[in-house]
Amino acid sequence: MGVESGQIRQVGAPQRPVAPAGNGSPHIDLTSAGLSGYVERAAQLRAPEHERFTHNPLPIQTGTIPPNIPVNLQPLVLPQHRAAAAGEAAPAERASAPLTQMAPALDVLSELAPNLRPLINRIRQENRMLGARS
Amino acid sequence: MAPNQKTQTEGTNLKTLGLNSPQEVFDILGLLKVDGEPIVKNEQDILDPRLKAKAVIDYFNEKFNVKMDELPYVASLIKHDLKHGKLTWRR
Repeated sequence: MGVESGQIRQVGAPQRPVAPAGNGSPHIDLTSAGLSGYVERAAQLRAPEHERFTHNPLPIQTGTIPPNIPVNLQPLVLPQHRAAAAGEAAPAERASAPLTQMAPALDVLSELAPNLRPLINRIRQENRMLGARS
Repeated sequence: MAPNQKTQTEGTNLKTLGLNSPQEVFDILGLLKVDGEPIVKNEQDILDPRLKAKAVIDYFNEKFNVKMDELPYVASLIKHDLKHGKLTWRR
């Protein structure tokens, strides 16, 4: 037995215009100084890497692992970093090989962990310097 | 075409900045109130994406001399802080 068209009609809740709750539309409060800080940070983020670290060097020593780096990222600190920290010259083959191997991994890591970008960029910069020396 | 296939867009890599679309840049920045003053002063402009984008671009250009291609970086930082609770929504 069928149901005639229009005989049973699904009636939902009456449509009401959605009014914003509270006194106004949602917003994000900032001071002009706060926004200025965001603009400055954005400029640093956008600047080429060498400029970024010239203006705002990070307090990370070559070859050391900052304590806030997870253990599974520690292999990213390369042997030549440790060698440089110990005042030794890394062998040319060891210094050049990880450059090509690390670049894609660092790119992926940079996208997955934006908060590690300063450190990742530092590693890239050091890699370049070590590669140039060898 | 495979269902999961993604297309690559040109220009600034918004995905890398954690943004989903160019409009999201203006949606985020258009929500800002600086010292109690909304960036998009005319409420009607909020409803029109073009007018909202224009208001945001004009504001950042006048106040901070920030060009349009730098705005995604500002929006990205603000979105990041919103996600991590450093900034909060208000009504």
